[in-house]
Amino acid sequence: MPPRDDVPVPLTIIGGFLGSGKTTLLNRLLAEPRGQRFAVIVNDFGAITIDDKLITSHEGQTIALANGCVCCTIGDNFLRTLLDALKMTPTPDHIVVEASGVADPARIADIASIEKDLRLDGVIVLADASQLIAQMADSRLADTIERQVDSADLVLLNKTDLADEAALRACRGWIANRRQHLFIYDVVQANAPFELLFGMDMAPDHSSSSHKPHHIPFETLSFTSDQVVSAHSLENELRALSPHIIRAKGILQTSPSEWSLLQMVGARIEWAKTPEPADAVSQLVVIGPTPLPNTSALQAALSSATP
Amino acid sequence: MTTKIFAAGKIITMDASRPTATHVAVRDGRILAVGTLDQVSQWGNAQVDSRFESKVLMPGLIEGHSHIMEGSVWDHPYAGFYDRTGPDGTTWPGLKSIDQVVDRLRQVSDEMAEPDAPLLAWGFDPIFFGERRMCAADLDRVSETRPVVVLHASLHFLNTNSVVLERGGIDGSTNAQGVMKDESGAPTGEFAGMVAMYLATKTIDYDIMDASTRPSSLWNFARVAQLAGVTTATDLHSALDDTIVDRFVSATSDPRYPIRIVPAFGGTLMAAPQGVERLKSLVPKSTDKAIFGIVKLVLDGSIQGFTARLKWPGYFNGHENGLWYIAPNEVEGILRAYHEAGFQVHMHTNGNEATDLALDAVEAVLTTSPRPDHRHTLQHCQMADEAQFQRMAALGVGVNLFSNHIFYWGEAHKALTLGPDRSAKIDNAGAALENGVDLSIHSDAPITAIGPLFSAWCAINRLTSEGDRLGGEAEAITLDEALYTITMGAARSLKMDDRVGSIEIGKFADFAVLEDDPYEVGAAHLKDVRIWGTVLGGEVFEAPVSAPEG
Repeated sequence: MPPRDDVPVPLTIIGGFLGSGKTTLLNRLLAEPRGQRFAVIVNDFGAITIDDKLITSHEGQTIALANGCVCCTIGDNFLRTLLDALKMTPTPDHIVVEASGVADPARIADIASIEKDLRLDGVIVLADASQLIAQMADSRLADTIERQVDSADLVLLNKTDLADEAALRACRGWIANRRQHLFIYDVVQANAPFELLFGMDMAPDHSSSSHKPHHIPFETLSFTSDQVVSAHSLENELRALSPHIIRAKGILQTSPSEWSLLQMVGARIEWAKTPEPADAVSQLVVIGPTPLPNTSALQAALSSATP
Repeated sequence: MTTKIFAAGKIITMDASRPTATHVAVRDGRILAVGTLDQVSQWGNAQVDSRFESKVLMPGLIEGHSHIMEGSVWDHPYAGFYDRTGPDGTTWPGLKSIDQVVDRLRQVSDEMAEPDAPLLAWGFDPIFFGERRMCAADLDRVSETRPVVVLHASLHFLNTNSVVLERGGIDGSTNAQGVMKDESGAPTGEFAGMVAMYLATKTIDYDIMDASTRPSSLWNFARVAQLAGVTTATDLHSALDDTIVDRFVSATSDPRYPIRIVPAFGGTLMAAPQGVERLKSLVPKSTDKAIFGIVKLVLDGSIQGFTARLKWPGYFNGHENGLWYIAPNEVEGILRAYHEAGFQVHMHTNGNEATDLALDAVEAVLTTSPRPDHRHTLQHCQMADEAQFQRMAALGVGVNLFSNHIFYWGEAHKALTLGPDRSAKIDNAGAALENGVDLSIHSDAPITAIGPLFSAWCAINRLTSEGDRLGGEAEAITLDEALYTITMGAARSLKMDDRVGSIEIGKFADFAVLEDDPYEVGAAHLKDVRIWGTVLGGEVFEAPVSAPEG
């Protein structure tokens, strides 16, 4: 594959045990990609439901949709499918991989660190609130699910409508005990806002909220600064706010001669070099569930000039 | 209607009623009579073929667990520690140092026309080089312009040169499981697991399954098998889409194609109900030489890759438990679908926890849907203990043990993966037979070289590459038992014992033609028995003469 000059494609891994709701989430994404051309790689088409009217072509392992998305099945070679997705023309805006129900999604995420053309955006792990406690009691299943939760940037505790309050408490307690600073989203039908899962490049959601029962409200806050920002103190402030902010993205002047792109998902923060923006102003956007905690420290970190 | 009589120095029949003979009569590709010249001549006019007068015939050997990929790896240079014979009969000498590996690959690289075309080699095994690990600087001596990737024998690890590191943006800041680093934090160019597989797939940039079923690969696979005296071999996991099925049927329909192929349908490549329908539609496409109808399920990973599922106390070096490749609670449902449709299911279970899971699933399925003589078979099943062999016997489950592991990875099992106690009992063929379990043994080619006589030698002698014996009398099997295992045992494991596996009237005239008598050579040297070639359906296939390659 020839090296490419353009920016790497964000990669999201959707993990979670069998029946945790991965396909439900992906079905919604394919139906409503909100202006982004997703390439979604799934284990099989079996449970994927795409409106026939949306399908523009179906060749072998690939379905192309009128909304610009494609859905590919892994067939007998996941890596081949992923490489093919990277080579598509036009290049997808975002690649989403459905990990198998027994896979450790972190191992798939590892690929982004050895492939220049990919950038790991996030590892989203779903857990079935109605089954999790029973699954953890099964010695053949427990360590597989533990590893999935250990690998998550964000956990969606799904099917909360099918679990009673005691079970929910037990689930949350178990996850929190394993991953202290991990944000746990309670959802039904895997219905978490896409901005939280797939980033802030998605077009605004114009569909009526009445179609989205159980939708969690979230907030976005923007900060600007004309100072040189200390990457170190900003990271500290962001980490202090985790897990209440799910994502952050910034284009920041980190030294008089250097601009950096910051991406944060869950507690994972990554920096990359980026060209100076036209307005030469540092900007940071954070997003999280309503209400966001007091973010004045963030503004302070952005505004305090570094020597 | 012509009848041919092969006269041999000795015929080992694997038929208990007539263990040895001197003549076998063949008509219409099948065995017409076995015995003395006088006995086999009584069917009427026949031509006597005496070319095997000083040779030994056995039933054609059967490789019950191999992969068609053995045919396509020979498109690439071999970089292994042990001698290995390619499809044209050329024996590639084992490479005894990293420098030797570099030298061979540099020679290949220098002969390649395009300076930036990728170079992939295979079969490398670092466990024979002690502390010294191959690194990117070594392979930079092969080429600094093209990506160089050296796959390890296990297929779970690989080494690259610096070109691959640069193209992937891999440096000291790269943090991912499977990216090996030196003391200074720089990547060494060695990779494991998912990242290794990604780099290999990206570098060769072709579909390995597609490549493996190209006609040239199918022929190469057959030739490698034939060189080992094999007349029936499995491809024990295949997508079996229309293209692949056509390729199998078409290649094998050539009368010069020297083996029968038994591909196993990958039972999780589609949902079970569709898979069942797919396989039902393939059964009628079977021919005498391409036989469809068995299913493969892969439950866990490999022991040497630390991905096999182990019961307590787990891996000897403390590595975390391995991976399920099928959700444990799905195995029974998938097995049930194929079982109730009448298919035979082969389940890959390397670790003993996976073996338990498979046996639980069989027991549950049989409890509600009894089926006589289902012969579901556990593949690899390397850690099975007495209790599990007894369960297999009770459930009518067969086992195909990975005996070659004793030699190739026995030392690693002692020191790293299993420790001294469990490695002594690994691939316990003795216990399988003692408990009355149908037994076969295998190479898992291309993981190790295809060679049933070598597998038999491993099961009898249980010697590691360092010459240490794993276990004692209880785990070993005898020469008689081992020869039965690579013929009738393997035939039973494929439900083909009505057609192949012994030299008996009515069966296909499939023979291994040996230069030496295994009984004279003896158990200790069984692997050194020389193979002249094979006979398939009465047609004679002389193996290409081996010429050492520099």
